[in-house]
Amino acid sequence: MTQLSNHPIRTPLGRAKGLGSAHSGTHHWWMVRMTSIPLIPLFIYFMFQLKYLTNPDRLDLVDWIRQPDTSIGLIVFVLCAFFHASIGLDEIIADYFSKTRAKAVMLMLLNRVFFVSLAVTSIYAVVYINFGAI
Amino acid sequence: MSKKERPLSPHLQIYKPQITSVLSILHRITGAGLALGAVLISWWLFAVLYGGKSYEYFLMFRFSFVGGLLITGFLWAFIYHGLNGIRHLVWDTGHEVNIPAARKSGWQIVAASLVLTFLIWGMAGQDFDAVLRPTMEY
Repeated sequence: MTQLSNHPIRTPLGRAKGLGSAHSGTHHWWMVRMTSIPLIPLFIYFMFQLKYLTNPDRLDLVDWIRQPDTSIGLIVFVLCAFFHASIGLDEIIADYFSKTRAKAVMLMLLNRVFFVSLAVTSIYAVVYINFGAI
Repeated sequence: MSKKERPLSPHLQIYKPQITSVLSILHRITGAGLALGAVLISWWLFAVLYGGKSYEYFLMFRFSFVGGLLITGFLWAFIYHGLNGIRHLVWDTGHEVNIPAARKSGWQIVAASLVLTFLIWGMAGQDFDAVLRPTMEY
């Protein structure tokens, strides 16, 4: 990755300022792919657990979530899916809501803060369901 | 001196709709919709964590008409976005990058996303224990 985004064709000054149409090179593209791939097996895994996932009984759900594979699956899912969603929305912001650079940067920052907070709180909930008194 | 506005991507209405372009924008629309679904996942986890009234409110939403419609919509959106995502990953390897192949795989994922949504939606309503063990007494 580092090698790609520090491609020798870029001048050191351009690289330092993050200028030029490439900005961070292929980094964004690569992160979208990397966060998408784990979601495919995770989705299939959770569909095979559909009976537990859709069980409305709270204590049964707690028991299911407390199993290590479910907890780890949920945490990895939340990390990948929420980060994927956030960087995906960056693309939409860049395409449709970036008349000024300041506005685009502002929106992307808000977007990141929102999804990182959402991921942290979701993971907190999974951890608390595991170790807290229910 | 007035600041020059940066250029934006051309918008949809200037193009004639085709399967390739419609699926492309659908990928973006489902992606943006699924981003909102992240809020639902968080809500679900916190409702399970807190229990009591919180969980009751969540169940009220889940079993409401609007809730059911939204969840089914999210299920289809996830499957569609996932299948189209796989299509993109295949293109990233340099395979299938031509118009006939893109049209064909496009229609294939539309059909597959609808079938899979229907199957999973149907499975969610089933009590598998009762189906698998019909004679067992609870």
